[in-house]
Amino acid sequence: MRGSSKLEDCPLPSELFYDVDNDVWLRPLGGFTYRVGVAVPLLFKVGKLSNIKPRPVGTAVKKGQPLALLESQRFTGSLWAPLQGEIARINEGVVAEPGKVAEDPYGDGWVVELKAHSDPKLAGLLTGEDAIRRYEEKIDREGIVCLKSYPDHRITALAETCEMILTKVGDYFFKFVRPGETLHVVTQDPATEVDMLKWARDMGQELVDMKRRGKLIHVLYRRL
Amino acid sequence: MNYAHPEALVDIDWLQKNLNAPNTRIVEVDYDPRLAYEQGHIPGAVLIDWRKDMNDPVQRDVIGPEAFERLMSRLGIANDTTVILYGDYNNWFAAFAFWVFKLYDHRDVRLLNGGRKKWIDSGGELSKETPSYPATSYKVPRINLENRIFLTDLLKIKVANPNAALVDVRSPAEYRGEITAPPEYPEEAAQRGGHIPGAVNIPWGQAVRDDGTFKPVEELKQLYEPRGVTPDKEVITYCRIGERASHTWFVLKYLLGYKNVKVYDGSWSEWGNLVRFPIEKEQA
Repeated sequence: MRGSSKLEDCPLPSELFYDVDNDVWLRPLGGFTYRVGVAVPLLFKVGKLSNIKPRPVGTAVKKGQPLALLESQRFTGSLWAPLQGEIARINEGVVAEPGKVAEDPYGDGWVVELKAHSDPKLAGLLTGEDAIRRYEEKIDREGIVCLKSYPDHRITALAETCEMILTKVGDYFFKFVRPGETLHVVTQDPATEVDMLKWARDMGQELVDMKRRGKLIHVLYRRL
Repeated sequence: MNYAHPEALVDIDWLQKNLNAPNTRIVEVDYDPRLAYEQGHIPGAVLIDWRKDMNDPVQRDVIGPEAFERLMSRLGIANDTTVILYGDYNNWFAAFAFWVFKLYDHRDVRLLNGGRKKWIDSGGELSKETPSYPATSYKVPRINLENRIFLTDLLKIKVANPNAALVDVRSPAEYRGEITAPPEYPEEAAQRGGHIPGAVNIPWGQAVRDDGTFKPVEELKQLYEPRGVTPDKEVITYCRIGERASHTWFVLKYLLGYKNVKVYDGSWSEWGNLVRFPIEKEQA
Protein backbone atom coordinates (compact mmCIF):
# COMPACT_ATOMS: atom_id res chain seq x y z
CA MET A 1 0.00 0.00 0.00
CA ARG A 2 1.25 3.43 -0.89
CA GLY A 3 0.75 6.66 0.94
CA SER A 4 -0.55 8.78 -1.88
CA SER A 5 -2.39 11.77 -0.47
CA LYS A 6 -5.62 11.31 -2.42
CA LEU A 7 -5.64 7.58 -1.89
CA GLU A 8 -4.32 7.40 1.67
CA ASP A 9 -7.70 6.28 2.95
CA CYS A 10 -8.47 4.19 -0.13
CA PRO A 11 -5.92 1.37 0.07
CA LEU A 12 -5.14 -0.42 -3.20
CA PRO A 13 -2.82 -3.37 -2.50
CA SER A 14 -0.14 -3.41 -5.18
CA GLU A 15 -0.19 -7.19 -5.74
CA LEU A 16 -3.78 -7.14 -7.01
CA PHE A 17 -5.13 -6.47 -10.50
CA TYR A 18 -7.79 -3.81 -10.97
CA ASP A 19 -10.52 -3.00 -13.41
CA VAL A 20 -10.37 0.66 -12.39
CA ASP A 21 -13.36 1.80 -14.45
CA ASN A 22 -15.61 -0.68 -12.70
CA ASP A 23 -14.00 -0.75 -9.23
CA VAL A 24 -13.22 -4.45 -9.29
CA TRP A 25 -10.11 -6.15 -7.90
CA LEU A 26 -8.76 -9.55 -8.86
CA ARG A 27 -6.30 -11.78 -7.00
CA PRO A 28 -4.69 -14.69 -8.87
CA LEU A 29 -4.90 -17.82 -6.72
CA GLY A 30 -3.11 -20.06 -9.23
CA GLY A 31 -4.58 -22.80 -11.38
CA PHE A 32 -6.58 -20.32 -13.46
CA THR A 33 -8.60 -19.34 -10.40
CA TYR A 34 -9.08 -15.72 -9.43
CA ARG A 35 -10.66 -14.18 -6.37
CA VAL A 36 -12.74 -11.10 -7.18
CA GLY A 37 -14.03 -8.29 -4.98
CA VAL A 38 -15.02 -4.65 -4.65
CA ALA A 39 -12.30 -1.98 -4.70
CA VAL A 40 -12.59 0.51 -1.83
CA PRO A 41 -13.20 3.69 -3.87
CA LEU A 42 -16.61 2.33 -4.89
CA LEU A 43 -17.66 2.24 -1.25
CA PHE A 44 -16.86 5.93 -0.86
CA LYS A 45 -18.89 6.65 -3.95
CA VAL A 46 -22.02 4.61 -3.26
CA GLY A 47 -21.88 4.02 0.50
CA LYS A 48 -21.59 0.76 2.44
CA LEU A 49 -23.19 -2.19 0.73
CA SER A 50 -26.44 -3.50 2.18
CA ASN A 51 -27.07 -6.38 -0.21
CA ILE A 52 -24.77 -8.65 -2.22
CA LYS A 53 -26.27 -11.34 -4.39
CA PRO A 54 -23.75 -13.32 -6.46
CA ARG A 55 -24.94 -15.27 -9.48
CA PRO A 56 -24.94 -19.06 -9.00
CA VAL A 57 -21.82 -21.23 -9.04
CA GLY A 58 -21.28 -22.55 -12.55
CA THR A 59 -22.59 -19.41 -14.28
CA ALA A 60 -20.54 -18.56 -17.36
CA VAL A 61 -19.84 -14.85 -17.66
CA LYS A 62 -18.33 -12.67 -20.31
CA LYS A 63 -16.29 -9.61 -19.48
CA GLY A 64 -18.70 -6.86 -18.44
CA GLN A 65 -21.53 -9.13 -17.35
CA PRO A 66 -22.53 -9.08 -13.70
CA LEU A 67 -20.91 -11.47 -11.22
CA ALA A 68 -23.16 -10.18 -8.48
CA LEU A 69 -25.87 -7.65 -7.73
CA LEU A 70 -24.56 -4.95 -5.38
CA GLU A 71 -26.83 -2.60 -3.46
CA SER A 72 -26.39 0.21 -1.01
CA GLN A 73 -29.02 2.60 0.24
CA ARG A 74 -28.43 4.82 -2.80
CA PHE A 75 -27.12 2.39 -5.39
CA THR A 76 -28.21 -0.61 -7.42
CA GLY A 77 -25.30 -1.93 -9.46
CA SER A 78 -23.15 -4.74 -10.60
CA LEU A 79 -19.84 -6.39 -9.74
CA TRP A 80 -18.56 -6.46 -13.31
CA ALA A 81 -16.78 -9.59 -14.50
CA PRO A 82 -13.19 -8.49 -15.15
CA LEU A 83 -12.47 -11.59 -17.25
CA GLN A 84 -14.44 -14.13 -19.20
CA GLY A 85 -14.88 -17.26 -17.12
CA GLU A 86 -17.09 -19.27 -14.85
CA ILE A 87 -18.13 -18.62 -11.27
CA ALA A 88 -16.40 -21.34 -9.21
CA ARG A 89 -17.19 -20.30 -5.66
CA ILE A 90 -19.26 -17.77 -3.76
CA ASN A 91 -18.34 -16.11 -0.48
CA GLU A 92 -21.42 -16.92 1.59
CA GLY A 93 -19.88 -14.79 4.36
CA VAL A 94 -20.50 -11.52 2.50
CA VAL A 95 -23.92 -12.66 1.36
CA ALA A 96 -24.89 -13.10 5.01
CA GLU A 97 -23.03 -9.99 6.16
CA PRO A 98 -22.52 -7.44 3.35
CA GLY A 99 -20.76 -5.18 5.88
CA LYS A 100 -17.72 -7.46 5.62
CA VAL A 101 -16.82 -5.86 2.30
CA ALA A 102 -16.18 -2.55 4.04
CA GLU A 103 -14.44 -4.15 7.02
CA ASP A 104 -11.96 -6.25 5.06
CA PRO A 105 -12.34 -5.41 1.36
CA TYR A 106 -9.33 -7.32 0.07
CA GLY A 107 -9.51 -10.23 2.52
CA ASP A 108 -12.68 -11.75 3.98
CA GLY A 109 -14.72 -9.31 1.92
CA TRP A 110 -14.08 -11.06 -1.41
CA VAL A 111 -17.23 -11.85 -3.36
CA VAL A 112 -16.68 -14.68 -5.85
CA GLU A 113 -13.96 -16.88 -7.29
CA LEU A 114 -13.72 -17.08 -11.03
CA LYS A 115 -12.24 -19.81 -13.22
CA ALA A 116 -10.76 -18.06 -16.22
CA HIS A 117 -8.33 -18.96 -18.94
CA SER A 118 -7.42 -15.45 -19.99
CA ASP A 119 -4.53 -13.41 -18.67
CA PRO A 120 -5.51 -10.37 -16.56
CA LYS A 121 -2.84 -8.24 -18.24
CA LEU A 122 -4.12 -9.13 -21.68
CA ALA A 123 -7.63 -8.37 -20.51
CA GLY A 124 -6.54 -4.79 -19.86
CA LEU A 125 -6.43 -4.98 -16.06
CA LEU A 126 -3.88 -2.84 -14.23
CA THR A 127 -1.67 -3.59 -11.26
CA GLY A 128 0.80 -1.76 -8.98
CA GLU A 129 1.67 1.84 -9.83
CA ASP A 130 -0.30 1.77 -13.07
CA ALA A 131 -3.51 1.01 -11.20
CA ILE A 132 -2.83 3.70 -8.62
CA ARG A 133 -2.17 6.33 -11.29
CA ARG A 134 -5.39 5.44 -13.08
CA TYR A 135 -7.28 5.58 -9.81
CA GLU A 136 -5.90 9.02 -8.97
CA GLU A 137 -7.23 10.31 -12.27
CA LYS A 138 -10.59 8.67 -11.71
CA ILE A 139 -10.96 10.02 -8.19
CA ASP A 140 -10.32 13.56 -9.44
CA ARG A 141 -12.64 13.18 -12.38
CA GLU A 142 -15.52 11.76 -10.40
CA GLY A 143 -15.03 13.78 -7.24
CA ILE A 144 -14.70 10.72 -5.01
CA VAL A 145 -13.34 11.43 -1.54
CA CYS A 146 -11.74 8.72 0.57
CA LEU A 147 -12.31 9.39 4.26
CA LYS A 148 -10.89 7.83 7.42
CA SER A 149 -14.09 5.87 7.94
CA TYR A 150 -17.07 4.96 5.76
CA PRO A 151 -20.03 7.32 5.94
CA ASP A 152 -23.33 5.85 7.08
CA HIS A 153 -25.19 9.05 6.17
CA ARG A 154 -24.49 11.94 3.88
CA ILE A 155 -25.87 15.43 3.52
CA THR A 156 -24.85 18.20 1.19
CA ALA A 157 -25.20 21.86 2.05
CA LEU A 158 -23.81 23.76 -0.90
CA ALA A 159 -26.12 26.76 -1.00
CA GLU A 160 -26.20 27.48 2.72
CA THR A 161 -23.87 29.70 4.69
CA CYS A 162 -22.15 28.68 7.85
CA GLU A 163 -24.86 29.07 10.49
CA MET A 164 -27.43 27.40 8.30
CA ILE A 165 -25.08 24.53 7.61
CA LEU A 166 -24.60 23.86 11.29
CA THR A 167 -28.34 24.03 11.91
CA LYS A 168 -28.88 21.54 9.12
CA VAL A 169 -26.11 19.28 10.41
CA GLY A 170 -27.52 19.36 13.93
CA ASP A 171 -31.08 18.65 12.78
CA TYR A 172 -29.99 15.67 10.77
CA PHE A 173 -27.36 14.37 13.15
CA PHE A 174 -29.50 14.14 16.26
CA LYS A 175 -32.53 12.86 14.42
CA PHE A 176 -31.12 10.17 12.14
CA VAL A 177 -27.53 9.26 13.11
CA ARG A 178 -27.42 6.55 15.72
CA PRO A 179 -24.57 6.15 18.22
CA GLY A 180 -21.53 4.69 16.43
CA GLU A 181 -22.73 5.83 12.99
CA THR A 182 -21.09 8.52 10.88
CA LEU A 183 -22.38 11.51 8.92
CA HIS A 184 -20.56 12.88 5.87
CA VAL A 185 -21.20 16.59 5.33
CA VAL A 186 -20.30 18.26 2.04
CA THR A 187 -20.12 22.06 2.03
CA GLN A 188 -18.32 24.79 0.17
CA ASP A 189 -18.35 27.75 2.50
CA PRO A 190 -14.68 28.57 3.19
CA ALA A 191 -15.58 29.99 6.59
CA THR A 192 -16.91 26.61 7.63
CA GLU A 193 -13.82 24.68 8.61
CA VAL A 194 -13.18 26.21 12.02
CA ASP A 195 -16.84 26.19 12.96
CA MET A 196 -17.24 22.60 11.92
CA LEU A 197 -14.39 21.65 14.26
CA LYS A 198 -15.88 23.71 17.06
CA TRP A 199 -19.33 22.20 16.52
CA ALA A 200 -18.02 18.70 17.24
CA ARG A 201 -16.32 19.91 20.42
CA ASP A 202 -19.36 21.88 21.62
CA MET A 203 -21.70 18.98 20.97
CA GLY A 204 -19.36 16.40 22.45
CA GLN A 205 -19.20 14.44 19.20
CA GLU A 206 -16.24 13.01 17.27
CA LEU A 207 -14.83 14.71 14.20
CA VAL A 208 -13.39 11.74 12.34
CA ASP A 209 -12.03 13.46 9.26
CA MET A 210 -12.00 16.75 7.38
CA LYS A 211 -10.69 17.08 3.85
CA ARG A 212 -10.72 19.78 1.22
CA ARG A 213 -11.09 18.77 -2.41
CA GLY A 214 -11.13 21.68 -4.82
CA LYS A 215 -13.90 23.99 -3.66
CA LEU A 216 -15.59 21.39 -1.49
CA ILE A 217 -15.07 20.65 2.16
CA HIS A 218 -15.82 17.13 3.39
CA VAL A 219 -16.40 16.55 7.07
CA LEU A 220 -17.07 13.24 8.77
CA TYR A 221 -18.68 13.17 12.23
CA ARG A 222 -19.32 10.14 14.39
CA ARG A 223 -22.10 10.11 16.93
CA LEU A 224 -20.86 9.03 20.34
CA MET B 1 -49.62 -12.81 -14.72
CA ASN B 2 -53.29 -11.88 -14.68
CA TYR B 3 -52.78 -8.14 -14.32
CA ALA B 4 -55.56 -5.93 -15.64
CA HIS B 5 -53.34 -4.24 -18.22
CA PRO B 6 -50.44 -6.58 -18.95
CA GLU B 7 -49.52 -4.42 -21.95
CA ALA B 8 -48.21 -1.76 -19.54
CA LEU B 9 -45.49 -4.09 -18.27
CA VAL B 10 -42.62 -6.03 -19.84
CA ASP B 11 -40.51 -8.61 -18.09
CA ILE B 12 -36.77 -9.21 -18.22
CA ASP B 13 -37.01 -12.19 -20.61
CA TRP B 14 -39.03 -10.17 -23.09
CA LEU B 15 -36.54 -7.33 -23.00
CA GLN B 16 -33.55 -9.69 -23.38
CA LYS B 17 -35.09 -10.89 -26.64
CA ASN B 18 -36.17 -7.44 -27.80
CA LEU B 19 -33.12 -5.31 -27.06
CA ASN B 20 -32.90 -4.33 -30.71
CA ALA B 21 -36.59 -4.37 -31.53
CA PRO B 22 -37.50 -1.79 -34.16
CA ASN B 23 -39.31 1.34 -33.12
CA THR B 24 -38.58 0.73 -29.46
CA ARG B 25 -36.62 2.92 -27.07
CA ILE B 26 -35.35 1.78 -23.68
CA VAL B 27 -35.09 4.59 -21.15
CA GLU B 28 -33.44 4.54 -17.72
CA VAL B 29 -34.94 7.08 -15.31
CA ASP B 30 -32.66 8.03 -12.42
CA TYR B 31 -32.70 10.20 -9.38
CA ASP B 32 -28.89 10.19 -9.35
CA PRO B 33 -27.43 9.09 -12.72
CA ARG B 34 -23.90 9.22 -11.32
CA LEU B 35 -24.70 6.20 -9.17
CA ALA B 36 -26.88 4.42 -11.72
CA TYR B 37 -26.84 5.11 -15.47
CA GLU B 38 -23.17 6.11 -15.46
CA GLN B 39 -22.26 2.92 -13.58
CA GLY B 40 -23.68 0.89 -16.45
CA HIS B 41 -27.11 0.62 -18.04
CA ILE B 42 -29.03 -1.72 -20.32
CA PRO B 43 -27.27 -1.62 -23.71
CA GLY B 44 -28.87 0.95 -25.98
CA ALA B 45 -30.79 2.67 -23.18
CA VAL B 46 -30.96 6.46 -23.05
CA LEU B 47 -31.15 8.47 -19.84
CA ILE B 48 -33.84 10.62 -18.28
CA ASP B 49 -32.31 12.51 -15.38
CA TRP B 50 -35.34 13.01 -13.15
CA ARG B 51 -34.15 16.25 -11.59
CA LYS B 52 -33.02 17.96 -14.79
CA ASP B 53 -35.34 16.47 -17.37
CA MET B 54 -38.70 15.90 -15.67
CA ASN B 55 -39.15 19.11 -13.68
CA ASP B 56 -39.85 22.65 -14.78
CA PRO B 57 -36.78 24.75 -13.95
CA VAL B 58 -38.81 27.73 -12.68
CA GLN B 59 -42.19 26.89 -11.21
CA ARG B 60 -43.02 23.82 -9.19
CA ASP B 61 -44.42 21.54 -11.87
CA VAL B 62 -43.44 18.75 -14.20
CA ILE B 63 -42.02 19.89 -17.52
CA GLY B 64 -44.48 21.55 -19.89
CA PRO B 65 -45.56 20.04 -23.21
CA GLU B 66 -42.94 21.92 -25.25
CA ALA B 67 -40.14 20.76 -22.97
CA PHE B 68 -41.52 17.22 -23.14
CA GLU B 69 -41.49 17.43 -26.94
CA ARG B 70 -37.88 18.62 -26.91
CA LEU B 71 -36.91 15.83 -24.51
CA MET B 72 -38.58 13.15 -26.65
CA SER B 73 -36.99 14.52 -29.81
CA ARG B 74 -33.55 14.56 -28.19
CA LEU B 75 -33.93 10.95 -27.03
CA GLY B 76 -35.01 9.81 -30.48
CA ILE B 77 -38.56 8.98 -29.40
CA ALA B 78 -41.32 9.53 -31.94
CA ASN B 79 -45.05 9.53 -31.25
CA ASP B 80 -45.35 5.90 -32.32
CA THR B 81 -42.23 4.63 -30.51
CA THR B 82 -42.72 1.93 -27.89
CA VAL B 83 -41.01 3.26 -24.76
CA ILE B 84 -39.70 0.88 -22.08
CA LEU B 85 -39.00 2.67 -18.80
CA TYR B 86 -36.93 1.30 -15.95
CA GLY B 87 -34.89 2.62 -13.08
CA ASP B 88 -33.48 2.02 -9.64
CA TYR B 89 -35.25 2.20 -6.26
CA ASN B 90 -37.75 -0.39 -7.54
CA ASN B 91 -38.78 1.83 -10.46
CA TRP B 92 -39.70 4.71 -8.16
CA PHE B 93 -38.69 7.44 -10.62
CA ALA B 94 -39.49 5.32 -13.67
CA ALA B 95 -43.10 5.08 -12.47
CA PHE B 96 -43.19 8.85 -12.14
CA ALA B 97 -41.87 9.20 -15.70
CA PHE B 98 -44.58 6.75 -16.82
CA TRP B 99 -47.16 9.06 -15.28
CA VAL B 100 -45.67 12.04 -17.14
CA PHE B 101 -45.72 10.09 -20.43
CA LYS B 102 -49.43 9.47 -19.81
CA LEU B 103 -49.98 13.12 -18.95
CA TYR B 104 -48.74 13.93 -22.45
CA ASP B 105 -50.71 11.02 -23.87
CA HIS B 106 -47.84 8.96 -25.26
CA ARG B 107 -49.45 5.99 -26.95
CA ASP B 108 -47.26 3.05 -25.98
CA VAL B 109 -45.23 3.26 -22.78
CA ARG B 110 -44.37 0.30 -20.57
CA LEU B 111 -42.52 -0.37 -17.34
CA LEU B 112 -39.80 -3.01 -17.00
CA ASN B 113 -40.95 -5.28 -14.17
CA GLY B 114 -38.18 -5.38 -11.56
CA GLY B 115 -36.25 -2.46 -13.02
CA ARG B 116 -32.51 -2.11 -12.75
CA LYS B 117 -32.22 -4.53 -9.88
CA LYS B 118 -33.90 -7.47 -11.56
CA TRP B 119 -32.03 -6.85 -14.81
CA ILE B 120 -28.64 -7.11 -13.07
CA ASP B 121 -29.77 -9.95 -10.84
CA SER B 122 -30.80 -11.90 -13.95
CA GLY B 123 -27.32 -11.51 -15.40
CA GLY B 124 -28.29 -8.86 -17.91
CA GLU B 125 -25.40 -7.18 -19.64
CA LEU B 126 -24.59 -3.57 -18.82
CA SER B 127 -22.98 -0.94 -20.97
CA LYS B 128 -21.27 2.35 -20.18
CA GLU B 129 -21.64 3.68 -23.70
CA THR B 130 -24.09 6.52 -24.17
CA PRO B 131 -26.00 5.86 -27.37
CA SER B 132 -27.42 8.58 -29.56
CA TYR B 133 -30.32 8.33 -31.94
CA PRO B 134 -31.56 10.57 -34.73
CA ALA B 135 -33.71 13.38 -33.36
CA THR B 136 -37.43 13.21 -34.00
CA SER B 137 -40.07 15.91 -34.26
CA TYR B 138 -42.30 14.79 -31.43
CA LYS B 139 -45.70 16.43 -30.97
CA VAL B 140 -47.77 16.12 -27.79
CA PRO B 141 -51.18 15.08 -29.14
CA ARG B 142 -53.13 16.31 -26.11
CA ILE B 143 -52.71 16.89 -22.42
CA ASN B 144 -54.49 14.19 -20.47
CA LEU B 145 -55.32 15.30 -16.94
CA GLU B 146 -57.36 12.25 -15.95
CA ASN B 147 -54.53 10.92 -13.77
CA ARG B 148 -53.67 14.15 -12.00
CA ILE B 149 -55.42 16.16 -9.32
CA PHE B 150 -54.60 19.62 -7.98
CA LEU B 151 -55.28 20.96 -4.51
CA THR B 152 -58.47 22.85 -5.37
CA ASP B 153 -60.08 19.80 -6.93
CA LEU B 154 -58.92 17.63 -4.08
CA LEU B 155 -60.71 19.93 -1.63
CA LYS B 156 -63.91 19.75 -3.71
CA ILE B 157 -63.76 15.97 -3.73
CA LYS B 158 -63.26 15.79 0.00
CA VAL B 159 -66.51 17.73 0.38
CA ALA B 160 -68.52 16.20 -2.47
CA ASN B 161 -67.40 12.61 -2.21
CA PRO B 162 -66.59 11.54 1.34
CA ASN B 163 -66.35 8.04 -0.01
CA ALA B 164 -63.18 8.81 -1.97
CA ALA B 165 -60.13 6.87 -0.79
CA LEU B 166 -57.01 8.82 -0.03
CA VAL B 167 -53.81 6.74 0.08
CA ASP B 168 -50.69 8.10 1.74
CA VAL B 169 -47.86 5.94 0.34
CA ARG B 170 -45.04 7.39 2.48
CA SER B 171 -43.29 5.58 5.31
CA PRO B 172 -45.22 5.16 8.58
CA ALA B 173 -42.87 7.62 10.31
CA GLU B 174 -43.72 10.32 7.76
CA TYR B 175 -47.44 9.48 7.95
CA ARG B 176 -47.45 9.82 11.72
CA GLY B 177 -45.56 13.08 11.49
CA GLU B 178 -42.48 11.88 13.36
CA ILE B 179 -40.33 13.06 10.47
CA THR B 180 -41.17 15.59 7.77
CA ALA B 181 -39.02 13.99 5.04
CA PRO B 182 -37.18 10.67 4.64
CA PRO B 183 -33.59 10.88 5.92
CA GLU B 184 -32.20 10.65 2.37
CA TYR B 185 -34.06 13.81 1.30
CA PRO B 186 -33.82 16.12 4.31
CA GLU B 187 -34.11 19.26 2.18
CA GLU B 188 -37.60 18.32 1.03
CA ALA B 189 -39.22 18.65 4.41
CA ALA B 190 -42.56 20.42 4.97
CA GLN B 191 -43.27 22.89 7.76
CA ARG B 192 -45.53 20.41 9.54
CA GLY B 193 -45.57 16.63 9.86
CA GLY B 194 -48.55 14.29 9.64
CA HIS B 195 -51.05 13.35 6.96
CA ILE B 196 -54.19 14.56 5.20
CA PRO B 197 -57.19 13.74 7.41
CA GLY B 198 -58.79 10.47 6.40
CA ALA B 199 -55.83 9.11 4.43
CA VAL B 200 -54.80 5.50 4.96
CA ASN B 201 -51.12 4.61 5.04
CA ILE B 202 -50.00 1.93 2.58
CA PRO B 203 -46.27 2.43 1.86
CA TRP B 204 -45.58 2.18 -1.86
CA GLY B 205 -42.79 -0.38 -1.49
CA GLN B 206 -45.23 -2.97 -0.15
CA ALA B 207 -46.41 -3.52 -3.72
CA VAL B 208 -43.08 -5.06 -4.76
CA ARG B 209 -41.31 -8.27 -3.84
CA ASP B 210 -37.73 -8.55 -2.62
CA ASP B 211 -36.47 -9.05 -6.16
CA GLY B 212 -37.97 -5.74 -7.25
CA THR B 213 -40.88 -7.16 -9.29
CA PHE B 214 -44.52 -6.42 -8.57
CA LYS B 215 -46.48 -8.73 -6.31
CA PRO B 216 -49.14 -10.92 -7.93
CA VAL B 217 -52.72 -9.68 -8.19
CA GLU B 218 -54.06 -11.59 -5.18
CA GLU B 219 -51.41 -10.18 -2.86
CA LEU B 220 -51.95 -6.68 -4.18
CA LYS B 221 -55.69 -6.93 -3.60
CA GLN B 222 -54.98 -8.05 -0.06
CA LEU B 223 -52.82 -5.00 0.41
CA TYR B 224 -55.37 -2.39 -0.70
CA GLU B 225 -58.93 -3.70 -0.42
CA PRO B 226 -59.08 -4.44 3.33
CA ARG B 227 -57.96 -0.84 3.92
CA GLY B 228 -60.91 0.55 2.00
CA VAL B 229 -59.03 1.23 -1.22
CA THR B 230 -61.45 -0.55 -3.53
CA PRO B 231 -62.02 -0.41 -7.30
CA ASP B 232 -65.47 1.17 -7.01
CA LYS B 233 -64.07 4.30 -5.36
CA GLU B 234 -62.41 7.42 -6.56
CA VAL B 235 -58.82 6.91 -5.37
CA ILE B 236 -56.18 9.57 -4.82
CA THR B 237 -52.57 8.73 -4.04
CA TYR B 238 -50.00 11.10 -2.58
CA CYS B 239 -46.55 11.07 -0.99
CA ARG B 240 -44.05 13.89 -0.43
CA ILE B 241 -43.59 15.32 -3.93
CA GLY B 242 -45.53 12.87 -6.11
CA GLU B 243 -43.01 10.23 -7.18
CA ARG B 244 -43.85 7.35 -4.87
CA ALA B 245 -47.53 8.18 -5.40
CA SER B 246 -47.10 7.50 -9.13
CA HIS B 247 -45.79 4.04 -8.32
CA THR B 248 -48.93 3.15 -6.35
CA TRP B 249 -51.08 4.85 -9.03
CA PHE B 250 -49.49 2.49 -11.57
CA VAL B 251 -50.24 -0.54 -9.41
CA LEU B 252 -53.88 0.40 -8.85
CA LYS B 253 -54.63 1.50 -12.39
CA TYR B 254 -52.62 -0.90 -14.56
CA LEU B 255 -52.13 -3.99 -12.42
CA LEU B 256 -55.46 -4.02 -10.57
CA GLY B 257 -57.53 -2.17 -13.18
CA TYR B 258 -59.02 0.59 -10.99
CA LYS B 259 -60.87 2.99 -13.26
CA ASN B 260 -60.51 6.20 -11.31
CA VAL B 261 -57.10 6.81 -9.73
CA LYS B 262 -55.31 10.12 -9.58
CA VAL B 263 -51.98 11.34 -8.26
CA TYR B 264 -52.05 14.41 -6.04
CA ASP B 265 -48.52 15.48 -6.91
CA GLY B 266 -48.67 18.56 -4.70
CA SER B 267 -48.54 15.91 -1.99
CA TRP B 268 -47.28 16.50 1.52
CA SER B 269 -44.83 19.20 0.52
CA GLU B 270 -47.89 21.25 -0.50
CA TRP B 271 -50.44 20.27 2.16
CA GLY B 272 -47.96 20.28 5.03
CA ASN B 273 -46.97 23.86 4.24
CA LEU B 274 -50.47 25.35 4.02
CA VAL B 275 -51.62 27.73 6.73
CA ARG B 276 -54.56 26.50 8.84
CA PHE B 277 -55.05 23.27 6.96
CA PRO B 278 -56.14 20.32 9.08
CA ILE B 279 -53.57 17.64 9.80
CA GLU B 280 -53.94 14.21 11.35
CA LYS B 281 -51.16 12.34 13.06
CA GLU B 282 -52.79 9.15 14.28
CA GLN B 283 -53.59 6.12 12.12
CA ALA B 284 -56.87 6.48 10.22
